[in-house]
Amino acid sequence: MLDVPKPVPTNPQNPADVAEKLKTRQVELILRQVESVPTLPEVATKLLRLTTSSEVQTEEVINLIRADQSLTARILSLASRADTGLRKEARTVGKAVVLLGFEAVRSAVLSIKVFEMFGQETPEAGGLNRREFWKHCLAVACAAELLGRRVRTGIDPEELFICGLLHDIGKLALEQCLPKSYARVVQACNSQAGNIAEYERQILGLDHTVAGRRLMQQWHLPETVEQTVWLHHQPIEALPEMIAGRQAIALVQLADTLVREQRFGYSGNFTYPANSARLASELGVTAAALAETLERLPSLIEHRSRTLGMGETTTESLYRAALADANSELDRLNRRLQRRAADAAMQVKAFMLLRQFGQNLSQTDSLHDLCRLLARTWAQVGELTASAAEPVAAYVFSSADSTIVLGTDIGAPEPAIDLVPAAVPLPPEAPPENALTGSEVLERIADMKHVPDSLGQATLSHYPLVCGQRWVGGLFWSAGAAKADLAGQTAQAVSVAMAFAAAMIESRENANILAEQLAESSQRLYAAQKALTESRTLAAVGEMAAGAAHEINNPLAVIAGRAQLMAESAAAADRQTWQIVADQAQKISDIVTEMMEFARPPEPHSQSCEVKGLIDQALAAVRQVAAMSNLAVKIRVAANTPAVWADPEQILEVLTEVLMNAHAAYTANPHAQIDAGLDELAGMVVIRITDQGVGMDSDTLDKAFTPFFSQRPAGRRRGLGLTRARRFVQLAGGKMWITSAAGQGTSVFIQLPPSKDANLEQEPAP
Amino acid sequence: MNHKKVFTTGEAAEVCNLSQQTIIRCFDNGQLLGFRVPGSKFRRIPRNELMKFMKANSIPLEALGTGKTRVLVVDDDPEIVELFVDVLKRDGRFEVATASTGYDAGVQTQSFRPDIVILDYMLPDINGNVVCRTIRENPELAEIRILIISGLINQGEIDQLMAAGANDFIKKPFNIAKVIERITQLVEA
Repeated sequence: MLDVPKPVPTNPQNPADVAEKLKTRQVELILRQVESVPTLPEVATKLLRLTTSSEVQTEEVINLIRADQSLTARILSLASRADTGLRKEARTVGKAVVLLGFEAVRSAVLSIKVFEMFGQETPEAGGLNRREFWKHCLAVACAAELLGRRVRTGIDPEELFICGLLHDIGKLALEQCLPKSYARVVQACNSQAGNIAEYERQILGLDHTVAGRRLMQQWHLPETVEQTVWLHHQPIEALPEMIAGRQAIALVQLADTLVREQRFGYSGNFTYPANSARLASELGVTAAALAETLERLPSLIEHRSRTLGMGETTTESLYRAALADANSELDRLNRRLQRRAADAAMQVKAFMLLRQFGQNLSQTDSLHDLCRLLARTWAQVGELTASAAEPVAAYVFSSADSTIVLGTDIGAPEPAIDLVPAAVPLPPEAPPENALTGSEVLERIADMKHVPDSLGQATLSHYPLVCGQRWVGGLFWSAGAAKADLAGQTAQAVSVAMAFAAAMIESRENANILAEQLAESSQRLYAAQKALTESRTLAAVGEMAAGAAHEINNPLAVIAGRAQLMAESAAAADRQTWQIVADQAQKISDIVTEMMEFARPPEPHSQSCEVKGLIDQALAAVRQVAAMSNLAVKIRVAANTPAVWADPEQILEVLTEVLMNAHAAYTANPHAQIDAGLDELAGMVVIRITDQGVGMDSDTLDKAFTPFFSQRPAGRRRGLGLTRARRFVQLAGGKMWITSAAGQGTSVFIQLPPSKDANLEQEPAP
Repeated sequence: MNHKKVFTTGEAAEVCNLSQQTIIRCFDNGQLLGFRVPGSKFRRIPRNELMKFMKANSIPLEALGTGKTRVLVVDDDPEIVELFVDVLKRDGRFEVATASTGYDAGVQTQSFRPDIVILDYMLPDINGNVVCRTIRENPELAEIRILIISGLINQGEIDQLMAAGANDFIKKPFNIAKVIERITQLVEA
């Protein structure tokens, strides 16, 4: 058989989940029922709110007690039994209150009323033994009170008595609400000698501390009492300092342990988180004080129980009963202890592993490192010895790039990391059912081509890492190689931490990737915005130029026309002047035309053009200009350069413009080099025109494509050339850019799409 | 009378501001040369003979028509109009009328009967292409040439004008000599 871990419930249709949901609803229901438990009688609630400070209020209390006949009798009896030596005088409630003290009366009244409310008879056969239960509560109350007198806590010992008395009140509340279910709790707890709170949670969905707390809130009892009821099972070190009545809780815990050690009554709790001596030393209660408390306890209990009408059980009979109970239990307890020792050993292992894992995790910030750590930790959990034949691997899904980060440990110093394409969409759905072997799981999730052989060929077991409902990764190991249980509690405890770490690091990586993507898209947005602004500016320039063309050309026509007329009739000396006027008017008009054409360029008539042909034509055109006929050019067109798809007229202008610029970069001996070829990565043809002329500094380079910018203030040509050239290249679907350095020459790159007929896959000609 | 190549005696009398009798007499006595329509007695006088006769007898030539090309210049810019008038008059081969709106252009086309219209595209009331179409829709005006002269240089708009019936397009500012050459070419075509 394979080491297949317990299934993790993730499916909402899973019956276990449904039960879980029902239980949650049940808890709510129970808590509401607890709220409907009758409130305390007025006398008790009022007493709780009063302090001795007020004469009037004391008077009021006395009157309240007098009005309740049974209460009057009990208070008087309490006073007469009090160790005062004045028993004859305590004939009135008023005197009794004075004798006993206000606090004592208060706690007495409260206990009496609570006892009356819940009664001392067990309502359901097999349920909580009320008599024994009250005995326990009373004993704890007395012990807490006695301890409170020995330890300086600043808490009234009478209040500690109330805390002790009520600490388990939740059990009664639960039993009152669900008598039959609670009988099951008691039976289960008794048969297994466990902690009743665990069975309450298992069977009812909540335990007596929660129910008790709700009841205390309902009764408006002081916060100290409420917190004691709620938290008396919590290890005191685990409680924050700010918790009200932290000390009261600690003392009640000590009292509870003490009383249970002495087997006074029945609490339903057979477990001891710590023994009384240890608790006492932590609280600063000396051994002597503890001994004294124990010594005085039986008589105090006896005294108090009489007051409360709990029958005439003497101290001695209490002890006898306790001893009998203790003997019958001792045997069971021993066996239980052995079991606990085994559990504890396991927990220690899990704890050590977790601590180490946690320490290493703090140095881990990538899924790669994490996978290494997971594989190593898992090998420790399972006491596996990784080797090529018996690999241990950890994987984490990386949904950002749809891969599986796979760390495989084959005994090398560091587990190897592979990025394996996922074979399922990520994030993956629920983890695989247990019926699948590890190898089957691996085949299902990963593209096996990329899985290392050591893993692909081994027979694997699998343990999924699930965080919340999310399957975040998992572990593979060679089936049967584990020396320790990989389906047990240790593995489970460690896997929870692993899953959490994996989920955390993955989401952090995702957040990083998201941030990078955001940055990238904001960059793209910026570029798009820039392009948009540019094209809007161009559109506006176009509109303006179109308007200007009409407005300016009319007066220009008049100027040019008149000048021509004058030239015809003028004397020979003036004729040339008039002709210049006419020509310059024409030039102005040309500029306007150029501007408009630049902003609203004519649609390119694209066709397939041979690059070499275009270059030759451009060169011929440049050399036709007398001043540029001396331009020397080396041309190298790679054999596999495909034809480009562009308007030949426009590209010719582009090349001519660039060549003229190259010529202008020299004062003497102008020469340039033209290289053309296919940029296979971009799938575009690139023509590079390089000169070794004056070059441009970065400022000039920045403005090279700015309309009407020219670095040569004198004798320059109209500054639209490069701008227009780039416009034409862009119209063809290409790009144009320049690299240059002052004094080192300039390279102009023209990137154009290959002709639609060009076959890019074609091998270059040999 | 501008384009008549051959005149009847009545027409010749009107042109010369003489009686028809006088014309017949001069024709018959050989002072005014011409021919008779074959198979009838009707006299016909060719233009050049009429002109020779008028010059020989010092009769003013105005009524004969100048023989000049009649040009209608349509532009809302008076400076442009004036420039054209000056240029064309100076050349001497042209007779010029002007209009500054599309409406004016319509009226002038009917009364002046130009050989050619020089048309600015942008007019205050209607656009040049409407003027073009209106002229082209009238069969009586079918012979009229239209030359668009405009500061606009958008090829799309030029194409539209040509489709609306314009014969040619010249951009402002223009070369005077070329414009005149183009006018003569269009009229003679």
